[in-house]
Amino acid sequence: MIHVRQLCKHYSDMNGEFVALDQVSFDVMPGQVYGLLGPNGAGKTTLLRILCTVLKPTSGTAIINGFDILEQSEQVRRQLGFVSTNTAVYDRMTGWEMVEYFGRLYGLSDAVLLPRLEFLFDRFKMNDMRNVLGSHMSTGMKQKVSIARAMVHDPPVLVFDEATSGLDVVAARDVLTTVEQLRDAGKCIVFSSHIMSEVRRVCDRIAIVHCGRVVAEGSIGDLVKRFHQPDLEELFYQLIAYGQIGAEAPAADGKELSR
Amino acid sequence: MNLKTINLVYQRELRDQMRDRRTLFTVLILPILIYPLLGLSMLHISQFSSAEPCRIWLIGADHLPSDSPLIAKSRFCEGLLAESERKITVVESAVLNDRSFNERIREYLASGSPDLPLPVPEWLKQEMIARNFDLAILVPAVVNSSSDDSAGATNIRIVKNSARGTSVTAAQRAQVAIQKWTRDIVVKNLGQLNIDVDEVRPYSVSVDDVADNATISAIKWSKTLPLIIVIWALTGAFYPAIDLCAGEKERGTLETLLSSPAPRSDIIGGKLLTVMTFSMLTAVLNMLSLGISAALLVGPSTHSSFLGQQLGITLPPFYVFPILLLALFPISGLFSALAFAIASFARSTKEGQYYLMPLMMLTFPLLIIPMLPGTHLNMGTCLIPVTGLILLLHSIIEGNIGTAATFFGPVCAVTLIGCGLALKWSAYQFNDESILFRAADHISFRALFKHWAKRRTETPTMTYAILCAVMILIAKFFSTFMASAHPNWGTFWRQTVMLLFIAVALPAIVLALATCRMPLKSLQLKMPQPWTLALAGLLAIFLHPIFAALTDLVMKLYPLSTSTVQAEGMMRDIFSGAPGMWATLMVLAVAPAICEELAFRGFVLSGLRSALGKFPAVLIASAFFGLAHSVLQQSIITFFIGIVLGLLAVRTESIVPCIVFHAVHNSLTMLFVKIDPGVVANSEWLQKIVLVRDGALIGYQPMAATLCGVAACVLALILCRHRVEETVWKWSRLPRAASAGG
Repeated sequence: MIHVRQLCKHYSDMNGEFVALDQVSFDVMPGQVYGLLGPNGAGKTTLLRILCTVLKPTSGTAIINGFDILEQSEQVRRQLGFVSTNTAVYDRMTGWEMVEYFGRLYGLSDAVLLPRLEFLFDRFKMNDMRNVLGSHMSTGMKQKVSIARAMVHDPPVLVFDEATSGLDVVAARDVLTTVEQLRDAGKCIVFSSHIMSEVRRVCDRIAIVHCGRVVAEGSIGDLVKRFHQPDLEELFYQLIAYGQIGAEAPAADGKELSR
Repeated sequence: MNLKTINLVYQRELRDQMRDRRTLFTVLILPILIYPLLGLSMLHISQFSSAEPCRIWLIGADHLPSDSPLIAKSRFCEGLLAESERKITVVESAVLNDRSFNERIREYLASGSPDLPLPVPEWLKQEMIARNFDLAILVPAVVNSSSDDSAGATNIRIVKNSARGTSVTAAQRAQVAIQKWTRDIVVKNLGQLNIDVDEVRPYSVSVDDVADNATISAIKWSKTLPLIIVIWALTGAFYPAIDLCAGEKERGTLETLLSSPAPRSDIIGGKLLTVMTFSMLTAVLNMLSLGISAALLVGPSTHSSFLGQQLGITLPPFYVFPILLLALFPISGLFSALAFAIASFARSTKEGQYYLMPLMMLTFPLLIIPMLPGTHLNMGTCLIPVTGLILLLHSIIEGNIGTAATFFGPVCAVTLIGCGLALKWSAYQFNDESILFRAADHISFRALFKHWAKRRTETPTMTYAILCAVMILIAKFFSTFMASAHPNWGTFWRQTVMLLFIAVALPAIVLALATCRMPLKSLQLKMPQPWTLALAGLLAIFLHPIFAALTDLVMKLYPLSTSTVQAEGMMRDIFSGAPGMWATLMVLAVAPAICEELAFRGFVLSGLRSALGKFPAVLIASAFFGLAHSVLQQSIITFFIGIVLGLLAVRTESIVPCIVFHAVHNSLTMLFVKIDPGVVANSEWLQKIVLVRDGALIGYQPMAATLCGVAACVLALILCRHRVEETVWKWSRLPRAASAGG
């Protein structure tokens, strides 16, 4: 479903060349939630922006539901819904207008769009914010609208970039429930976060990203076994610490890790 | 491009802007309100200025004649001033009982002469302020004209304070009253002598205008309306553009939109159309509001039309409006695209607003040129973007349809090209992810310096080459003002050599040392094979007839202005003070050759070559070389000489042959000017080479010129055929510490 191959992204500025992504590869299958775990500035957002074709990779590519992000960017965007802290809600549009607008941008006809809108507004219990302007919404309400917006065209692939950041416990729980339901509905989901409990709850496989590189990848059970570290947070911390001193991720025996 | 998507984006953006109070106010409400408010305030101001009371202090009232009174009951006498003004202008006489003050005044008035009055003393100023007078009128004792004929009239002095508004008004009123009063005295005196006033003033002057009021009004409107349209089209485009790009970036909604399947081109299309709609709407609303306000204020049927009479304007002809509306499309298109490109660059609304001023500053000269007196629509002005269009509108509004029709095509072409380029730029800005997702830079001079040091190339980049040329042009511009007006030889040669070094050679040397890793290669400073030097010298001699003919042709096409001819005459006087021919040649041939070659064939040419290739670089370097000579005729000639020098530099990989060529060429030109025609007359072989007419050398004999041309061709051929060995620039590399710069 999602096949990422050797993705690299370099920026250059006055301070010289900066590597945001370095040879990142992974695969995500339908009905799977793939977690990207990494500290702030690890390159998660850059990676997801590239998957959504908002940015172009310096080298490497990714295939999303059969479409190449370089060659068929418009088709790729039709295959996915993107929810990010950077994809805000229009202040001067109501919830209904916002979701409807994006439905039309996806080319949905009235016959498809209107029932879909009704379904989404019922599903996320958003009927009371149909006529509320974005500027008057709470953070939780905005996030609901964002998710409805990303799902308006019922895409096979969904990308959540720190989708719970800034939300209260109830709203964050709602988002996680939604992600689980979407996974159960057979969607292919990429979920980036730096919160262990969320990742542990929803993700089937995770990649730990640090300084633009995937330092470890596998299911949570795999990783725990491989590095002999039952505490995911401790595991994460140690991998990041090794990443920072520039060492290779330790091999399967994990002796170095336990020191 | 999908029209449906563009329309979808357009509809949304339009609705979004309509819901934004700030945009609505700036773009739609302000224009509707501004002109009626402006008109209203003008009405009030015109009433205010005539109703300003003021106090005048009359010092020395006892010196005024009793039979022709100036003052009555603390006012100017009736008939001396308009009644409404007379009533509110209080004139008070000075205190009579303050002896010391009166004494000081008398002393002051008695000192100085009418031709050379003493400056107003400080204590008088203080007294005026202390007593709260707007104005003081000083009347000295009457001069006894019978005893001294040369004494002339008694000088009444008005002391005003321009820093105080009421003082200026009071001064105007006092002048009017005193002039009228003086005239009355003259009439009375003449009457006593039985002389008719008209005998003293045999002629009066009046001016009649053959242009009817409608034409005068059309010309006034033709200056105003296009200006208003352009300024508002720009303002109306700017705020929505900032909100639609920088604002969306700031609010985070741009990424939402970019992650939708709408292609970027469609997003740009929709957003640009929105910006353009607001730009046009603002301009049209302004025009309508101005039109309606003007109709009410200066229209013929209203009671307030006196304002129109005061300003001398009537309503603009109606046909002007549809034409302005038509012209608004390209103007709005151009500014919308420019504003959009700038807005795409800005990271936030606040940053975007900082860019409005520079954009205005860049546009302003284009708006000012058409306002300058004597600017007409012609082949030159019609090619300037915006200016051409405004001048075209002027012509149409003034009714010069013939002129307008002639230049319609070029103006349209320039405008469309401008729109196209702006559109391309805005699309580029919006598509470039490094611009669209620009992070806030931490500006650090250390980082800048490091970056610059790391990016230093062996030879200059094109940017540095152009920077060098521009620096030279600016330095040359200022140096023309620094040169003293009437120098003698001593100051002249020092000034010339110093300015050449500072303005021309120094920028090139400094830039070569600072920006390149191989300064000597950058300046093309190496010793070439000796034969190339001889060849360059000979080439200069053999090409001189051709350049002399070219000079002749240029002078015929564009004759020198009288001031330039005078300046040339002055130069000859200066040269006559030189210790010898060698000195003149050193200053006017060798010094310019070294300095100008270092700059133009050295730094500028090698920088341009790295980016453009040999021949375009030679052409552009020559153009800069030409521009560096301030007289147009000289610029044209030096451009062609520059091409030869450029080719020589490219061929020999060194500027030394160019210096030789340049020096020889300048020397020959100097000799041509300075040589005594008598010498030619006495020499048989010189007569075969040069032409003398009316005692001056005017050129070469045709036969000699042809032979020189053939010889120059042969030399050029030798130069082309000969393979110049590849230079190893090793020896020119500076020691690491000096060149790396960190």
